[in-house]
Order: sequence, then structure tokens, then C-alpha cells
Amino acid sequence: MWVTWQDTGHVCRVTVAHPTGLEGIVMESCLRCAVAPGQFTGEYAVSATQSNGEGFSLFVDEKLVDREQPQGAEGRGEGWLRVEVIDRRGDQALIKLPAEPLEVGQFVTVKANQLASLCLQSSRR
Amino acid sequence: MILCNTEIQKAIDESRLIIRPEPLPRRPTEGKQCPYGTHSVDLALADEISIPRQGTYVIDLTRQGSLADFLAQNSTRVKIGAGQGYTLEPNQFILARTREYVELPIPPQVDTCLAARIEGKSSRARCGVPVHFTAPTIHPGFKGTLTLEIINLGPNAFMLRLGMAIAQLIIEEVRGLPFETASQFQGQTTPEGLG
Repeated sequence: MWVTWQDTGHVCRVTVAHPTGLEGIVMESCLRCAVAPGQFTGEYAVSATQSNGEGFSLFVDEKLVDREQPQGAEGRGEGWLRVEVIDRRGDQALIKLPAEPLEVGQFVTVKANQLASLCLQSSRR
Repeated sequence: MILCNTEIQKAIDESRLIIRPEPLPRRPTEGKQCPYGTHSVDLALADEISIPRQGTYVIDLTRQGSLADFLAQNSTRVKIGAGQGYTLEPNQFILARTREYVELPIPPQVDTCLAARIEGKSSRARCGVPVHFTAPTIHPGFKGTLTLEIINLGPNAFMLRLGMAIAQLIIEEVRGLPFETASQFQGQTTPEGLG
């Protein structure tokens, strides 16, 4: 399925070649989110907003989040969550989250301006 | 198709299944507990549990966008020390995690991958302690430790020990490729897609 992997510094482009012959590009990107400590060590509770204005939240491994400094009270703050952009049209983007949110499914549509091709640090995956 | 123990080990050797640290020994060995059943492998309890705090709040699933934060705010992390344990009282509910990191890669250029189900152990269930009660499915592509929902339904307290065999993993083969590829989302107009 994945036949090439290019690390372009901060954004990983993955070429997807499906056995059926269909091909596409999955681009790793970063989603603006609110970040708070999770229920376990090494985990964050992150929340963000869909393009329709409804929010979602999920627990993710801290390695998938780049936090901005300084953090507020109780370790809360803003940050960037690593996601896969599946499709992008106009001001909207269909993304795959690294885990299933508590409120909605793993694929959500967000406003494209919530995404950044540059995270705070280079890819740690 | 469910994988037997030797097929599970073969999948580990071929990196189709990643379990770290690897459950050992692979065969019954004198003086050591073998974590493999005929078609399962045991997973151990990690050193941290999360205890939901009792309060007057109502968990409202319609609270859009902040449920994870809300749950985290209203729970307490507790470390289980070696040789110490944690006493789970009757009717007490906690979250725990497996010690093992599990990954089910979707491998390139093949049309099969692996999924898994996490199951409890009958010895714990006989004491009234289920270790998970919903969502046993671990999807292809998953990576991480497994969160357990443990409740003591029995009449007596139950001791949770660090590293104890707490759950078992059943590994299954998935035929075909899941729609993880970008091409299959092209033109999607469903509510979760792009109109």
C-alpha cells in the first residue's frame, strides 16, 4: 500500500498505492487543538472543532502532540495534534485522527485553516 | 480466522503483530508462567490506574468537544508499586492499561492484516471482576497500550497486582484492505466527508 515515504522536513508525504490500482496522497499535518493532561501518564486529552462548529475530544499519546509554551494552569494549553489529511477542498479538509474521539468517528471534517503543515517540532513518529 | 499460539508467535516474528515487551516464555518452561493459551496471549497490568472521582457532576455525552478533558479532570492517577498492589473494593470502577504496547500494522502490498480482541480471564471473572465490558475490538492499524475498564462486581475486595495477567488477546486475520486509503474518500459526500 505505502510505496514511498518522503520526509520533507516537517511534513511526511505518503504515496498510497492500492492493490486495485487506485492511488492517492495521504499527507501528515497538524491540527490546532486544546491540550490538557489525560487520564494516564504519557497521555493528553485534546479537543478541537469540526467545520460545522461542533467539538470533539480524544485521548492520545503525548508523542502525537506538540505543545505550545507556556502552559496554563493545571498543564492546560494549546498545541498541535498530528493527523492525516485524507482530502482537502476549498476551506475544508477531511482528516483521520490518530484515535477515535469520544463524541464522533475517527474521520472528521475541519476547516483547513486549523491545519498547519509545520508542527512545532519535526516529526517524531 | 483466529490465530493459534504458534501463528501468533510467527506473526510477531514477521512484525505483522507487535507486542512490546514480548510476552515470554514462548513455550511452557519450568518455574515460569507461559503467557500463551492455545489461541491467545496474556497481557499484564501496567503500573498506573485511573480512578474516576465521585462527585455531583453528570457525565453528559452531548457536551460537545470537551468530554476527554472532563473525564481526565475528574479522575485521579494512582501508581501501583511493585509488591504493593491496589485493592479494588466491591462496586469500584477504575481504568487501567496493559503493560504491553500493541501494534497491528496494515502491511504494504498484501490483502490481509490482523485485528485483535481483548478478552478477560475466567479466573478474574469468577471473582466478579471483568476487566473490560465493551469495545473489545482492536482494529487493524491500532498502536498503543490497551485501556481496560475494570469493575469489581463481587462481594469481596480484589487485589490488583502490578504485572499480573489481566487480560488475553485473541488475534484474527482480516481479509481485504480496510478503507484507509485516500482514494476511497474521493468524492465522498456523507456527513463526515466533504460535500
